[in-house]
Amino acid sequence: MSARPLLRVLPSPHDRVPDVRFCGYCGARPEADDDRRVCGSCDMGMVLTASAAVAPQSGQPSIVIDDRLTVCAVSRAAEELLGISEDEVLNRRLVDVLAPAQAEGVGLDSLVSAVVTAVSPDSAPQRAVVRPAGEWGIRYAVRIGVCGPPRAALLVLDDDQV
Amino acid sequence: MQQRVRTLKTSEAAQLLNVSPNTLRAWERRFGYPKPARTAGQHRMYTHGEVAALRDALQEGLSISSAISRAQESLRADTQMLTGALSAYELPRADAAMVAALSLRNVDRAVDEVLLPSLVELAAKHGEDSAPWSFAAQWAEDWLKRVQRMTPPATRRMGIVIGDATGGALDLQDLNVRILELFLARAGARVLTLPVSGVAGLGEALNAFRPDLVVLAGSVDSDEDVARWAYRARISAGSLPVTLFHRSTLRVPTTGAYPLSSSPSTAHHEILALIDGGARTEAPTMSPADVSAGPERVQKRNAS
Ligand SMILES: [Zn+2]
Repeated sequence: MSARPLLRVLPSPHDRVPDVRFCGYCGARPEADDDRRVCGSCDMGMVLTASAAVAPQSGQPSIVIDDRLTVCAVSRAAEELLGISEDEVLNRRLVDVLAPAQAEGVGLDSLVSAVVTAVSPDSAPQRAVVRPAGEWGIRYAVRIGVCGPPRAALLVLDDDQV
Repeated sequence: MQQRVRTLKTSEAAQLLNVSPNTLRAWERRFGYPKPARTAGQHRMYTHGEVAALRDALQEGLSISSAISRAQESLRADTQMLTGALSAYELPRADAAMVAALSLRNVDRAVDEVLLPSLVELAAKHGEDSAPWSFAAQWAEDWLKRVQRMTPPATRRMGIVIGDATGGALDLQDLNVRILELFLARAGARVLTLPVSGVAGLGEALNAFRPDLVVLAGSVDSDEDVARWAYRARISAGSLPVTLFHRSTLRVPTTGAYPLSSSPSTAHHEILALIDGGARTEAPTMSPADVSAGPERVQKRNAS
């Protein structure tokens, strides 16, 4: 297995943030010399790379979606927060799990646009406000950036409700 | 035809995936995949193909769930390939599909997960009186015979006699019985299949074979034929556990019989468990009174 970074996030030169590796399921950060793709802490997640500005901090819920906006990974914290399991939402559309919070002025187009922008080369992390699908009155700030490999979008829900 | 499946011990599979053996066991518990067979000593034995499919999927995976889903998808491709080949009347491609299936699984699982689902799909799609079905069923029967010929001689003392009541038509029921025979033989059992339509010489055959269990298989032959055959079998072989495969309980010409699962794979495990677990006392058996009374009395008892 190569130690070469498989993904490079390029923030703007004046705001250089290092990449970090984390488990997409439990969020654990593996040791620098541990290049295994499967998390050695929980056995249940893939080790992904993302900008430190986006990667989940301890216990923060996160979801990974692909370029078709379908769900590829759900962290244990997100499973608990949203009352879902990764297996049941795998390959479902993001909006079946998290919907744009229209009360905050976030429409579907702007959520999609934030995701697309976040994963384009050289772009900075994006922010949006979402709510759990099918629920109103609960809103979460979400930061969106690129992660991988393979290249995908990482959505991290901030602990504080908006 | 490649019959030897490359298998891996837990440590070897873990090494191929660059995970710990504990991780493999955790995935088996949570996802049911990879699904290892067990050796006689209860050690896990993974098929190389299944592990290799997962290794490839993990390279492109963003989560363990998605990688496992992708690996399973690639395994299902064999079933689609076989169904496609049989639908197109392409024998070499059907054989190739099974070779591909066998590179990922052992024979039992290749039959259970690829051959049988393909045949079920073709039967549902075209009907069991259609040309595509007939072609597919003949190919399947031939393939099963080829595998049967490569099965080593029986290694266990247990003997199973199958009273074949499928009526002889090449239908899905018949194939299920052929598959059950194969699974039992591959488990090391002695298997003797006799048509329930014939009782001449049955006593001598069973005296020589000395079965431990009877399977009444198929629902085509009449209750009368099955009753007569079972009665004669009991006279020769004594009080034996009776099981039913693809035959309704209500139509059984005995005082009670153990209904087996309709899946040949599950049914063969049930049979082995019945014999290993002392079936002679636990499974329904025909009493000496029933034997002496003959089939008419048994049928009356069942009707009441
Ligand atoms: Zn983890």
